[in-house]
Amino acid sequence: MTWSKKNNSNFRTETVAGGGLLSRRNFITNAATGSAVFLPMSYAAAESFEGVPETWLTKGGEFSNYGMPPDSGQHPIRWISNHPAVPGEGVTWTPHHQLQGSITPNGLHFERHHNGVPHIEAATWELALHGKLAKPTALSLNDLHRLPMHSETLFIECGGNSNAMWRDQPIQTAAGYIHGLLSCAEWTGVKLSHVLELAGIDPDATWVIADGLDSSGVTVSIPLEKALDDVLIGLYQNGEPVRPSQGYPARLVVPGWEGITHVKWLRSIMLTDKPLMSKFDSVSYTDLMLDGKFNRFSFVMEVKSFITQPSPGYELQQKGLYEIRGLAWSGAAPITRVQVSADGGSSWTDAELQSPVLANSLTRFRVPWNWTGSPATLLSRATDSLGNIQPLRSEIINNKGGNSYYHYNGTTVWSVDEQGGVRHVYI
Amino acid sequence: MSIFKSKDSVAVTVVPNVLSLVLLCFSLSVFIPVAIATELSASEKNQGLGRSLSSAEIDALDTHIFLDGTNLPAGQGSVAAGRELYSQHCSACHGHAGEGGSALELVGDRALLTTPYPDKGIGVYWPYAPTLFQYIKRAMPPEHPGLFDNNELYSLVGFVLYLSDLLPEAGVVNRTTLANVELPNKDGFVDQLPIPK
Ligand code: HEC
Repeated sequence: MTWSKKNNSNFRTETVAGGGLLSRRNFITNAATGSAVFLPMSYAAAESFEGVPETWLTKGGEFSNYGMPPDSGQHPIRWISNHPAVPGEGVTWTPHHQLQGSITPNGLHFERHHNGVPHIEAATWELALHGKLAKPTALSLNDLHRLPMHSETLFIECGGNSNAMWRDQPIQTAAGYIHGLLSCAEWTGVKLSHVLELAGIDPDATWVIADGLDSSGVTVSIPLEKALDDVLIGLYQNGEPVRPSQGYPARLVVPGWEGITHVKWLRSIMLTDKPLMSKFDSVSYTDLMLDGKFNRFSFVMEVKSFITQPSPGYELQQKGLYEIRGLAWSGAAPITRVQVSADGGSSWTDAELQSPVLANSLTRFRVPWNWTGSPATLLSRATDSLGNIQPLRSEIINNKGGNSYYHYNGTTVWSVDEQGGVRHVYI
Repeated sequence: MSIFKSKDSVAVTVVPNVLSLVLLCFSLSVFIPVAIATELSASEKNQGLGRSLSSAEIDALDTHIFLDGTNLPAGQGSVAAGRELYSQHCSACHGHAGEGGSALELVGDRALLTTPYPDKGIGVYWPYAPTLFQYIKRAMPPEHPGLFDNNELYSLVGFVLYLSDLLPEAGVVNRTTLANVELPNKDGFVDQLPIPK
């Protein structure tokens, strides 16, 4: 397969074979032309070793305490979009157009911070549980580690993910820069229900108010019903302690719900009989509808999918066989079906879903495709086990108008031209 | 492994590791303490886990400002004092009259909500004035959150509300005033509750 990145200043130039792997040829060229990892040969190899890979003849690089990606400029990175006057207010995007599988590496998990990453001393940190509880309690990290742990592979998606899709004109940028406020990891921690039960829940408690230790005032109200159902106090991400940028020492993980509810750098949990109506409950993360009203407490991230390869920035260099690959997810129920069209939705085929298909997780889908060299219009459409079908973009715009900003879950269409260039289009 | 350090009375059983693991894990603990909390009843489980919060600690935590003004602090300010503070600490990002700049506008036109170019702003989409107090107190200005005392915060919130014609220029701003301000978008929401199944 020969997809390569277009030599276009909008994109990082890099050659990618099979959707993200360097070709063997590139690997050897890099090594031979002074990649720091490999030491130069200091002796001539015996004649019988002529023509063998140079790496056979050179001792390799050192061990390291923490494995890092190659320092070649070829490795996927997150792009940063932040506020010019408030550098800690912004996001980093997961580069889905360069990734495969369904787990996001920890260093590429998206971030949404409102005023930077706080430094927190784990040794003195405590989580305070108060409000409508029999025994208001402070739990240290040691306390949390002694409780039964639970792991789940879960996506987190910012409510504002894909907000460029509301624009009048299709944005021309990489797929990860449109849909990359979305990541997926195995989260391990303690069930919130467990610690709340330890502290004794008052019968009239109906809401949970969680706040964080950063300086942005993030405070979020979550119905107690959800808290008791499946919310985790996340302590580990893909097996290692949650990183500072993901909420160390502990964050909420709220399966299937919008990112803002996954409060990072957790400080306190208060049980109440009403929501706080903080700015983060009742101002930001409310969705403006056609009639001028705002949807509030729109927690669930609804069924959605997009094609990660090919996508804008890729160039199809030859006619013939390709694999169309993408991601599908739903915060309501497991994905049951992803349909892919190469003719703008006139006809569809079912993509193969990578198993296991897990609830509230990213599902990788793939479908083989023979590109004949004529223009093609690619899109995917996901369905979950409750029968929710991802809407076409036109359906969303007709139903909600163009001002919603949050919760875009419509289709995304890539058009392939005769030269093999890929562009974002609305149909 | 400090996470298993137990300085209190919770019951833990210790089980010896299988030999092969002991050999492999020469640098790790040989014994894995297992919290047996799962088998105990809810009240027993709490024994030794965490510490009780004192009433002073609870009071210090119970500071979230609710929409009806619960937990708004004592103190008062004025629109005039707020104007001074705003021009010094806020206008660089939000504009001199709240029209926006590098940061979003605080004043807007509600009539545009159903057009393709809706405004933001306190009078456009904020439902409750006490929430504004809590937010500015905790988060603004981003370079120095926590800069203002409660009197100054009442002044700033008062001035921001005045910019949207939601408070008169004269008079004081305090917890009663704020709890009584009715914002135009108070009823502008459709709550997506109960949570979908
Ligand atoms: C350095 C730039 C900067 C300064 C100075 C600043 N702000 Fe902000 N303000 C922001 C940014 C950026 C946001 C959005 C933050 C976010 O969404 O996380 C914001 C958000 C707000 C909001 C919420 C608006 C909405 O509708 O969501 C209010 C209210 C506000 N600021 C008031 C103030 C006040 C009052 C001051 C002065 C005390 C101030 N700001 C100073 C940058 C600034």
